[in-house]
Amino acid sequence: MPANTPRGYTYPFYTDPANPQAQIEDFARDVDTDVAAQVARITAALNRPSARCSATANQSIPANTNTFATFAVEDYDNAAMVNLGVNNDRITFTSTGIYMISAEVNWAPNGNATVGGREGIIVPNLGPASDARQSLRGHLTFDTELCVTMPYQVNTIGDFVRLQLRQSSGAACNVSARSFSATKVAD
Amino acid sequence: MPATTPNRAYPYPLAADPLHIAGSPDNPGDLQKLAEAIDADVCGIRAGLGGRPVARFRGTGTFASPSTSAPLSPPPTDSFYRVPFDTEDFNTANVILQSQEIGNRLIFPDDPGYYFAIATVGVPPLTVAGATVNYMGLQIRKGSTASPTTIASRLAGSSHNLPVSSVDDRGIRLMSVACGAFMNGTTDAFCVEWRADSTPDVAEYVIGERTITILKMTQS
Repeated sequence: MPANTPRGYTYPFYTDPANPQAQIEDFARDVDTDVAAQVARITAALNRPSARCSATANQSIPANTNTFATFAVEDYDNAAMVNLGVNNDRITFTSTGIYMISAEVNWAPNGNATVGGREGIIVPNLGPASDARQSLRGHLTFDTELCVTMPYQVNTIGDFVRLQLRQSSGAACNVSARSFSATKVAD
Repeated sequence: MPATTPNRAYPYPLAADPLHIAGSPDNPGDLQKLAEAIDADVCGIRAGLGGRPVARFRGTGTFASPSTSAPLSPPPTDSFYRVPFDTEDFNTANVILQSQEIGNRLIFPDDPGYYFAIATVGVPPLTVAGATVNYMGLQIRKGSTASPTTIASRLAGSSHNLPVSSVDDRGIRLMSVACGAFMNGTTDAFCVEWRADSTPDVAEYVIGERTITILKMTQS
């Protein structure tokens, strides 16, 4: 009765009937299957699920109101994480693991005398807003750019993240160029 | 005639193979061939395991960013706000530092794929007496090696509207920006732009050390 190594490679005992050719073939096929699986895993590790979406058209953000940024262009997506036709404000994870998420947005000036603040927060569907936020004082005449990056552990397929925007200028304020990206860094 | 396994082509004997000269199957020889094939294959796989491809470039010393009348609204119409880099700290990602002359300053990933990039710039206080800084902006942009001086498209940006204070900021502010982006491996190249606006305009704003770190996340 042949035995197996911890990785499943078959080998004969002294008490087994001698059949060297078949036993060598059995061993070769076991190693072949195992190494092929490892190569596939390595290849997958070098091709992490990644996605980026962006937009350039103005999106109006009301004053003092949490508003999710929307996106119009799927720049890259090798894991079906962006589906703008269904939800244009999120990246939805299709595999569990640890991701690096980056969001950035360009606030246009609205000329309001009350300049106020500009804020961007990455918000997961589970739980409260994350700690990944940036708040800056806006500018009367210049753009204000925010960039937020965070690692995020996804435990459930279907979880998603959004970019929540808020400003306190007292009047509506546009965001123009903006992008949202996620890339898996570990299983 | 030995056969081979379906995936890795490891050789193994068949019962119909010719007998060894001693009149019996060459079991040790067959095992040796299999062992050597596995050994060579695993060595080849191991040689390709260098971890995630990553590169970092650094611009050392100071750099005088020209003109301080360069807010982002409207976007700049030239490429001379690109900051130069001169040092390759490490590079396992086949990323090529292009000419760092004015008008070029591109960093070209030679392989296609999705990349994650992080750029930083050390910004000291503006030392021109009487000048007030209104705005500082740092951006990662995507340029083209086929047309190096063409305006690069914006990938991500980060700005400050408050001047660097020698008290509150300990004399320097480290601005950073990060983004993910696909690069085509043929013409797409990263560049880093930094600009400032002051009142009154001054001829230049001297910044300090800057870096860009580039991680390759996919193979295509």
